[in-house]
Amino acid sequence: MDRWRYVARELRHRSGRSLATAAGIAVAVLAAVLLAALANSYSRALEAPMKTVGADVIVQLTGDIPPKLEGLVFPHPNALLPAKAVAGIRKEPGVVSVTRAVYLWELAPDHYQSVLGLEAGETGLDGLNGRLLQGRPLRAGDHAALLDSDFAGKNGLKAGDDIVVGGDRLPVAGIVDAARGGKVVRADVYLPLAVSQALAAAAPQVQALYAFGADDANMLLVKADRRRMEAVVERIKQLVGKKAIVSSEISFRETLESALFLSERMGLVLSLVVAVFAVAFVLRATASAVNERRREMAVLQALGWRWRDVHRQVLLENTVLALTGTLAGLALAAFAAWAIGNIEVTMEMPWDLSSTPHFIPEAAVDRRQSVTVPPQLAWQVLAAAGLGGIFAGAISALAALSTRRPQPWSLLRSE
Amino acid sequence: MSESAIHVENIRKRYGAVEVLRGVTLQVKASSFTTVIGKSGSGKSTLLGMIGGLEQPDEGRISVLGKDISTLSSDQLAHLRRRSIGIVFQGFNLIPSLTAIENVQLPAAFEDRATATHRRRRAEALLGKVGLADRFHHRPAALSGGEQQRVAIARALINEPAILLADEPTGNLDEATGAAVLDLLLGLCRDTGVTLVAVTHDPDIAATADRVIEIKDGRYQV
Ligand SMILES: Nc1ncnc2c1ncn2[C@@H]1O[C@H](COP(=O)(O)OP(=O)(O)OP(=O)(O)O)[C@@H](O)[C@H]1O
Ligand SMILES: [Mg+2]
Repeated sequence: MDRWRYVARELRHRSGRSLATAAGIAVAVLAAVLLAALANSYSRALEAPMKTVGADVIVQLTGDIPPKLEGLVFPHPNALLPAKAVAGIRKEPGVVSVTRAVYLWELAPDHYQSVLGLEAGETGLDGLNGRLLQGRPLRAGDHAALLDSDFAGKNGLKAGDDIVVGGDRLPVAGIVDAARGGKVVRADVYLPLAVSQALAAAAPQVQALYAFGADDANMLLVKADRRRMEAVVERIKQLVGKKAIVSSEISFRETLESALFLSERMGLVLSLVVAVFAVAFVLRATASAVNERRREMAVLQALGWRWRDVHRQVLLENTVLALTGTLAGLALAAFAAWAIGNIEVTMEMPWDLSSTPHFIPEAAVDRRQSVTVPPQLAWQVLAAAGLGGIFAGAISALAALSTRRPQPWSLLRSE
Repeated sequence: MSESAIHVENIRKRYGAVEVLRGVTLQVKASSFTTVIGKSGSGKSTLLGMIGGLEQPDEGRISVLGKDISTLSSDQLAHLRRRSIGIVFQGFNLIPSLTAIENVQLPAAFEDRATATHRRRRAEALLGKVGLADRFHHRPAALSGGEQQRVAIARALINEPAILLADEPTGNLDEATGAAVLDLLLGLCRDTGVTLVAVTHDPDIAATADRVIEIKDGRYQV
């Protein structure tokens, strides 16, 4: 007969209570792990739109509506960005790279297309070339275009065909699936920056509003040091001015969180409440188990056990229960994560980042983006929840034991 | 063998308004059999509890095996009980989740010098001696009162104590069983030279003792 045998006997003897305590801990661990996994999924979902662009910050400037909605125009949230501001942003500490872009809509009575001219670079042409489905990559010096696969499909176009943009006939170098990644800053037609700049400079409805030069841009894709994100965003707003539209993870959070996350928040709060109640239950169950055993603990003392031996025995019992409960909780969490499969988060994109004009009826509805994120059980979360579960068990035993150190005699003399 | 195993000197104990013990002094010789008698509520169990270090006197001193136990810490008292004092309670006080053999081994759970098998053998031998060789794996709930009391006696003897304190070891048993249990207890103690102090109501038992101590009006009467 050793301690472990005694622990096993005791736990089996009070199997109902043992089960309840272990289950309490399992529920707490399960709730905590799912809570962390959900929170993690939502925050990854928030990052997703920006990730698909490859940039951390997108800089635009609110402009005016052109006198006539025909030919190549700047979308409403895209005015000419002052060259001085662009140069200033480039020099800003925390800014890693700046990719200039020209964003255009081409409007005709019978058709519409969005056009995006990009510089070379990771967030520009290089990123785009990485999503090539057919044809060849687009280089900065080319006089050619890449087409979005949806657009190409709808219009029956493929690599090697021609496409007309603003009256300029361009060969289609390849097809990319950029649209599939997200609805942020995507376009039907992608051009090298120089080509798009020339088109914008020549477009009457652009020139009617802005003195757009051959080396100007109306959108910036900025890569920034994520740790300095907030400061960078603030500085960019200052440099571009009041009408700046600066989209980033931060602005996404602000615009999307309140409306969209209300229901998910409820889920998080619920998990938290469940975890707290489960821990409280374990505390109570342990306290009453210890209370029930006061006489037994007095007997052990009379048999020559030191108080610390008794203490250790109870601690051991509860730790075994906590360990069992914790492992069960972790297993349940893993199972739940597997059963849930993917968490789909649907977000409404801010109007500024929508790639289609809001006045085009068929496009107006489609500003939502669904991001599917698998619930991620990070090992740190599992370790923390595991330790937390065992800790909860041990702490509740210590708490129950600390309330009273029984005087053995008063318990033993009464039969 | 004539030196005293237990020396109680002028102890007093008060519970609320009632002074249960009012200056009890007595000496118990090593390897002797002493009975304590007295009316219900006279303080017999209280006296035994104090000798076992489970309760403190308000006044007076108690020496056990030459040690003044009022100077010992609770850990030292536990150690003394584990090594030298076996206690059989008025109620049996067995642990309900453990089998007979496990209950018997409980006081030896920390004996480092005793290996598990040695401990187990000793427990088996003791249970055999008290006539429970076929009840090793029974829980207390599955044992009769007399059987439980015999398990409690085996448990008190597992660590080969110098002193055995037995509080009405036959009180819960019928006459025949009580007599058998007492014979057993006496036999075991005589064989090994254990100092036995037993509380009893039974004058026949008291008559077999080397010495009878009667507690009356809070004092020890000859
Ligand atoms: N811890 C305690 N708290 C309050 N009163 C106590 C306590 N211990 C003993 N007493 C009182 O002291 C008196 C003596 O109790 P004790 O148990 O020693 O009597 P006893 O002689 O063993 O009686 P019995 O023959 O019925 O077992 C009783 O009146 C009892 O109520
Ligand atoms: Mg009594």
